[in-house]
Amino acid sequence: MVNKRSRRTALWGLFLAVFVTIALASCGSSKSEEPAAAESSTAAPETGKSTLELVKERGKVIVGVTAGIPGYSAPDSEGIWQGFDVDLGRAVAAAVLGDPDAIECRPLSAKERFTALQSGEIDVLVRVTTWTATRDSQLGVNFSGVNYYDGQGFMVAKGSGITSLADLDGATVAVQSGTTTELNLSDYFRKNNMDFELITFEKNDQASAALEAGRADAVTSDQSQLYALRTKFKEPENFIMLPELISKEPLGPVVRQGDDEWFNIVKWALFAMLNAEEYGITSDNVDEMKETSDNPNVKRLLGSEGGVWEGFGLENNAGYNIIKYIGNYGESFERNLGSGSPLNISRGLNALWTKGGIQYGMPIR
Amino acid sequence: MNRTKTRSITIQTAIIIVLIAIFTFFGYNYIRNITSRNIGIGFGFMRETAGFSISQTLISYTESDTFGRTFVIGLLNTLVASIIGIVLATLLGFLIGLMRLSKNKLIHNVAVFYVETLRNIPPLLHVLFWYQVVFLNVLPPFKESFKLGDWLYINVRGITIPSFIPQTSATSFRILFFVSIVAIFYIGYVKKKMVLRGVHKKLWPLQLAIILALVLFTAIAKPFQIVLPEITKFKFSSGTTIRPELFSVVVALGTYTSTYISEAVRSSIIAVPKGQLEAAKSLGFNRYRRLQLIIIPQAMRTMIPPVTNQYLNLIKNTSLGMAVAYPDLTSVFAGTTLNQTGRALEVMSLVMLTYLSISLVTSLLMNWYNRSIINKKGELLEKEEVPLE
Repeated sequence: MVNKRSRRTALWGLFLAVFVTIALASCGSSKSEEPAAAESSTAAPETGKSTLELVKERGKVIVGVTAGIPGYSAPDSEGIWQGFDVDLGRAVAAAVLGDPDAIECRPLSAKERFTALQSGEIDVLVRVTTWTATRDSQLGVNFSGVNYYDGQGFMVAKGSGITSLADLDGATVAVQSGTTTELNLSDYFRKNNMDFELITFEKNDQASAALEAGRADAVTSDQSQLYALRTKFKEPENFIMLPELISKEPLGPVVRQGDDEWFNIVKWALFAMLNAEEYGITSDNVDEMKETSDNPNVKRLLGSEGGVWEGFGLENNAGYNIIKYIGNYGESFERNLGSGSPLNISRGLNALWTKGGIQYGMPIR
Repeated sequence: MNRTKTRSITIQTAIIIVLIAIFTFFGYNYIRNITSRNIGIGFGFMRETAGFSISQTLISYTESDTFGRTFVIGLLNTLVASIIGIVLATLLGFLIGLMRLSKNKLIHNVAVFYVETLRNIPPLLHVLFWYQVVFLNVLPPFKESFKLGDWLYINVRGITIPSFIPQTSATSFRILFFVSIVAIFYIGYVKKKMVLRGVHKKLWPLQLAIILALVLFTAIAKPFQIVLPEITKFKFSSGTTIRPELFSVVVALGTYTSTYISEAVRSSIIAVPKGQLEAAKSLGFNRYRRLQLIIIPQAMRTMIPPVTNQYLNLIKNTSLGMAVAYPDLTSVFAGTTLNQTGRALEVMSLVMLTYLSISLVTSLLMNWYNRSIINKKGELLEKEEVPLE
């Protein structure tokens, strides 16, 4: 009896001890974490070394990408990351290290992406990230351009007779819950005095499945996502995008604040691709152009004249490497998103400024 | 004795102190984090404009209404699914439970098959089955509905039936209907009292007369106008549509829960002492009367606690409607509203409190019902003696 009782006391004691230890440990650890958290919000994690130096030392560029949106970034059958966003990461690697394959892709969720960049886990974030004032001002990051002008769009069935947003009066629209998409949609219909019924799904896949089955007349999301979702349909050719977009979603690469040199490199990797398209330089004709072109812009871009790239802290053949290995902006677009891909996205806003779009490479002077 | 008492008090106090410390720690941490981000705590967001749309609303709602109203909409949708589900589960459960007790091998085996199959599949799969398989993949598209005359349309968008539009005589019909129901039940009550006093008088013709009167009134005054469903470009412009989301949740949870209820019904009936059945037989009651008058009333007492549990499970499971876009409390308030406002603590605690309240009210009602039948029976045996004539 006494034995039993004392054993029980011992057990209680043990239980209490464990409890108290856990409580103390959680108190303690939270305190020790505090300064670490504060540090991570500042720009450079390892002070003294610039990102360029770190990348050269490491021999590769670490690129933050989506965990898999076909066309933008997704591993292919051999496990190598491919896509429009990955291409921009490769362009940076080609410019800095002369090797387009010297990259490592880190798949990140929407929640993880900025922390990963701030803490120095990745060198550049190219993950269908919208450039907004709040992010630019409050996250300690710099948006270094727009590689894809996106917006909230609508997908409908081809045979439905719907050809524009105005036709959607009275329709049933499927959407993913808890996004700004839902608010934009309600605002748009309310503003235009249109009637609609919204069905809110947990995931984008479910929303598009509702369209495919005929439960909904349209599905809405960022148009790039809609194109990716469409590739999963049994008969993708039976679904079309409406021409209108109801929001602005400029997507582009992001870097840490406080490293202007690296910021410039990422910025100009994109501009080099845009300019190359404008001047008709492709990965096929780049060698020929380097020899024969007498356009000073082309000469400066490919490094056969002037020292533009040296000014950025790179070898002067950086521009040549980008075009040689990745191709120009248009080539990358066609290969990953355009007619050469299952997504089959038209250039639209992403056409060059010379061809009715708004993509504009800053002048190489 | 005294030592044990002191010790247990000491231990309990220690545990309470530790618990308070832990909660204070989390609370302090939360408040510090939230204030450092300039968010603050409070339910003020409930008065802000919601700005999003909801597909099924029992009361009027527009995008310019507040987050507070989205809470009410979600709550009502949860209640709608719960109530219909509970009625369905109870009816099916009783039927299947009795079927399983049948001596007919076919009926018995059908019931066994029903229970053993449905109960061993997780409820989420039930919901997804009805939505993804039946509605989205089996049923025809909107323009090619199954039709039953002009009355019933079944397609991927739901089940559409005619709607009843109240006319001027509708109010008097509603009053008449309510009075009739009360009268019919009251007559049943009077009949029971009379039987207890040993008086056997037929009262059902009176009840039938009331029903006939009601039917007659409906035929003459036509309190409701029947409007047939009509297809327009995107939807039915008239008629009442049962949405696939509601249908899936209700049917899935109704059938799933009915298996558990049927088992409660079956075991409660078996638990009635065999002597009762034999006594009833020897008194010359036929099979139906035996069940109605002797067995089921006694089985009810055993049945109610487990059935209450199943009701509570069903109510909580309506949150699975989230998987099929049913706009219930979890989906609308703990989903969209939470995402739009970012007020995790406030929204989640409110939702948890609401589910808790619904569950408590349900079990309170069921307990009250349980006590009422137990007390009445107890009273019967003690006070009201059957006079010997």
